[in-house]
Amino acid sequence: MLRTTNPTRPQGVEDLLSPALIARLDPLDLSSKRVFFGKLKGERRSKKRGQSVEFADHRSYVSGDDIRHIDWNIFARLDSLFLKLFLEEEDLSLNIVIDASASADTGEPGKFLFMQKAAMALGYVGLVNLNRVSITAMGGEASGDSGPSGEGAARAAGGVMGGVMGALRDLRGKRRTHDLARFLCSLTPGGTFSFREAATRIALARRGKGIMLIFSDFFFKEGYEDGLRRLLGHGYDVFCIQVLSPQEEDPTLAGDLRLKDMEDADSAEVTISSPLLKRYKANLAGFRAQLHAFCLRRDMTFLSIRSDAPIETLVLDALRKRGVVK
Amino acid sequence: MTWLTPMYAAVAAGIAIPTLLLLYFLKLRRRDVEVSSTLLWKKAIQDVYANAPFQRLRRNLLLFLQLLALVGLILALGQVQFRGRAVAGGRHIILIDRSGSMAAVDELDPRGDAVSRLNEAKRQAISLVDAMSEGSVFARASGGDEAMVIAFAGGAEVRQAFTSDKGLLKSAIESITPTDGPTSIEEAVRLAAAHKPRRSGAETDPAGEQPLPVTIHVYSDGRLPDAEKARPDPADTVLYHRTGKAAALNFAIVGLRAERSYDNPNKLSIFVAVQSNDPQARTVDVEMSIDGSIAAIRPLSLPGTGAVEPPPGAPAKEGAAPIAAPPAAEPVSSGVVFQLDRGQGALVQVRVRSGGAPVVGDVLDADDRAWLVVPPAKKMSVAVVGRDDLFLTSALSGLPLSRLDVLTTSQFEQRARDGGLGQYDVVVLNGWSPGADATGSGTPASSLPAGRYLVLGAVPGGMGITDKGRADAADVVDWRRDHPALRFANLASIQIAVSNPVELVRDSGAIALATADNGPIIIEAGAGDARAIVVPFNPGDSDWPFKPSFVLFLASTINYLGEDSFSTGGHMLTLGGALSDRIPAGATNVQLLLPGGERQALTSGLDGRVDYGPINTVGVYELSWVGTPGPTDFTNAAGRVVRTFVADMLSPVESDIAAAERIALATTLVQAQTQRESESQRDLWPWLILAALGIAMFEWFIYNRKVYL
Repeated sequence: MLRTTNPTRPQGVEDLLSPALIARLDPLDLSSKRVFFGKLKGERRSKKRGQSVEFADHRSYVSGDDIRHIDWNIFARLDSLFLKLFLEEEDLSLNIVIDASASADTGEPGKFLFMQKAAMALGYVGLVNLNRVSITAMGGEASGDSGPSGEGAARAAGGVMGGVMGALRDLRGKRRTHDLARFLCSLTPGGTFSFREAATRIALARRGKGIMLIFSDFFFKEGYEDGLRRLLGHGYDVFCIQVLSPQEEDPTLAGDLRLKDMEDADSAEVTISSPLLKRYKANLAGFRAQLHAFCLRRDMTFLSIRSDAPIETLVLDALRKRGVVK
Repeated sequence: MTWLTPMYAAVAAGIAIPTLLLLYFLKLRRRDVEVSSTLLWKKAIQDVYANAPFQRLRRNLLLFLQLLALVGLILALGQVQFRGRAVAGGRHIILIDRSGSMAAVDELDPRGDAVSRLNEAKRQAISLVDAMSEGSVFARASGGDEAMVIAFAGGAEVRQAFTSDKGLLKSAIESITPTDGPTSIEEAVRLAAAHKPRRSGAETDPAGEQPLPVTIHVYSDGRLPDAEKARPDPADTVLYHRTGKAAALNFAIVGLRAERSYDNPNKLSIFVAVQSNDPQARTVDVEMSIDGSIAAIRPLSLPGTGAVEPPPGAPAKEGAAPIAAPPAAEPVSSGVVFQLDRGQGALVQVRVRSGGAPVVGDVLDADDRAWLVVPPAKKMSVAVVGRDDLFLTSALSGLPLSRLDVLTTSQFEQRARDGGLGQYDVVVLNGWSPGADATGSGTPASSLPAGRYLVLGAVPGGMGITDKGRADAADVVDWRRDHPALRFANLASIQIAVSNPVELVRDSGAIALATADNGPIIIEAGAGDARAIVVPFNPGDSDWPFKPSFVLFLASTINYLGEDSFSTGGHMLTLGGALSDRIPAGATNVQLLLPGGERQALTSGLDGRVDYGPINTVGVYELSWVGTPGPTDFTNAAGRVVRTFVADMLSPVESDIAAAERIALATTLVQAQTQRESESQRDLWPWLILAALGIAMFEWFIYNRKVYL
């Protein structure tokens, strides 16, 4: 809830992914309950028949078929032409959206670091399996040092545009891991943005279809509904991962306070009391339930996790159960 | 409720309360905290405000608590007393009765344990001391109450002079121990009056020193037989703090006497009088022990006093005027006689019991037992000196005497010189007394040698009797029928032909037992170690020897004089008095064994006199020494000579323990304070400070637990 004191800023992939985690991530692959057609051949088995070593079926030869696919053994036995059909192996588009607004830079341990690590882990899984990985940071113009910076920002056309602080597109292959890490490390959270606008830009910018993982706290004063609807509209398998700090779930505030919103300078005068804290927790639970219900109705997957949870718990347990990785 | 220092409280309240309110109305300074989003907080605030009843009240709970704590502290500063009287600067004299009846255990302490009246009185007195004003907190030396403590039973003593030091007063009260003695408030009131502080006006008018009015607190059960003699200053306030219950039951031995049969001294009769104040008739056992072993138990029926007791548990009618308690009925007494054959001396103990245990409901123990030292049976030895008289010798020879010698005056004087008179219990001087011949005037200058004398027809010198010579006939006017020497003797019809009028010297101790129309005719007198009953006229000059009363007089007088030196009276100690006796010269290692088992070493004076006092407890006191025994002493197995004394309560007044509702003093009638009134003067300020502290802690708890918004 409070701004992270002395936030840890990762410097490279080794800060984001430990070798132990990499070892556990290596056998994983991305998955989706929906089937998407990839653009390039990937390591993901497609339901589309195609060229690969994975045999799928036979069918009768019709004129115009590639004779290279005729199964000559069957022709020898049956004296009729059959084509061997193979399962096409194709790639999957993984779109990671990360909230890099000022509110992400709160909590102990920090929410943003958790998001960076989670994005890195999932991006790594995507890259290793030759999927197309894109990553987008949502954020806003911030005053002072906390403004958007880095390579990612430079890659985005002209700084923060419509809530998108920066993006990396179409990374493929394990060797792009460092690019992904560099982009993530270059992000400094700050400012505020409109989720609706950012979602619109992301939806317009993406290519193909695939999995979209949105890391945010979803505390958008304008509401999250519009933005999520826009992302869903293009047939993405959307996963909303709400990252909250332990302090947001169980506030440790006391006394007479003026709470200042770090994004929009809005303030609320409170005297912390037991009923107030109870009410706050009830509201948080209600908010989460509402978001969950919203996602459920639109065939999105909702997941809430605390920033003090290990990345393994998110990737190897929560996301695996929900079929994002397998 | 009384404020001892209201001004301090008013000033403090005037400053502190507005300041607190002012501080509270100042805008609360809030700490700025940056949070990730105020989205949920704003919603929560709205929800809580909407749902909270009495929002303003809850908002100000801390203010109320602070005000409450402040009020507590201000009240404490004002030294509030609960239901106290205006006692600021007062002077109190605390009189605590510690007589025998105050040992009755019929009070309950705050924990519900039975305690004696004296303990309850001490507790009440200490709470009075606690309630005394100590002046203000900032100037303790000025304006505080002062008090003094006097303990009284048979006598009174100042335990603590006037002081405002509560510690001294409390320890003085605590140090008061019970006695079994009688009660006399008169001396205590006199003592209090003597110690009253006086208004100092010496500079202007030394004679005009006026005692300052004081409040006299009497802590007693109201059994004060001499209350009407006590004269407190009318300017003083007397408060009677009653302890004990009016319905307290007591069975007491109020009389114990032993008498040997005249004709057979081995026959010993022990008379016991038992008093009861039980409204119902009861039968108790009277148990007699001789030298420690039970000799006899006799049932004794005691009639009820007839006092009407309210039925137990009868509810008082709501709103009905309180009915005055019926006056406590007078206690009733009854007696029992033990008869036994016992020639030797004995230590007799008598107890009131019931079925082998103390009587149920009896709240006073000290008077359930009594002791008596019975001397061994003894027949008198008598010597007749002087004129040979047929009537006299015939009458004396008819008496059961062990020895009757007729001595000449020279033999008498010889034996007086060599100490041979000690073998006679009584010496009858008939028509002669030592030294009478020398002066010839009938008024001898020298007194009688040590001994017991019946002097007939002569006037011994030095005994406060002035001989006025012979005179004419006289008639007996009056005599003391209750005197042991004249018991059963009817002197009315005596005709005296030649009288010998005498005059008694004022304050000489001589008293007239019988008086004729021209002066005393039978006188009891004493000088030094000599005691005598003197009949100045010669009985031969009257018709008295022909009357039965002459023989009766002789018998009673010899018995009275003879037993005088050898009666139980010498071994009875008076409670509140002192043990003072003479032991043979040369006695060493003198010790007194007290009833509690404690041994007290005593030192005998040059003349063998030992003193110990005051005697406060009933029981047996054994005086023992190493040396020669006296005629009534015995030597125990350890080779020590033992002389036994006993102290008994034997007081119908002290054993009547029903607590009195009022005390009728000479100048005023004082009604008992109710229990609540007497306990009311309690300082509240320590509790208020405690409450303020508690409230402050509660407030801190609330603040931390965020119970309020």
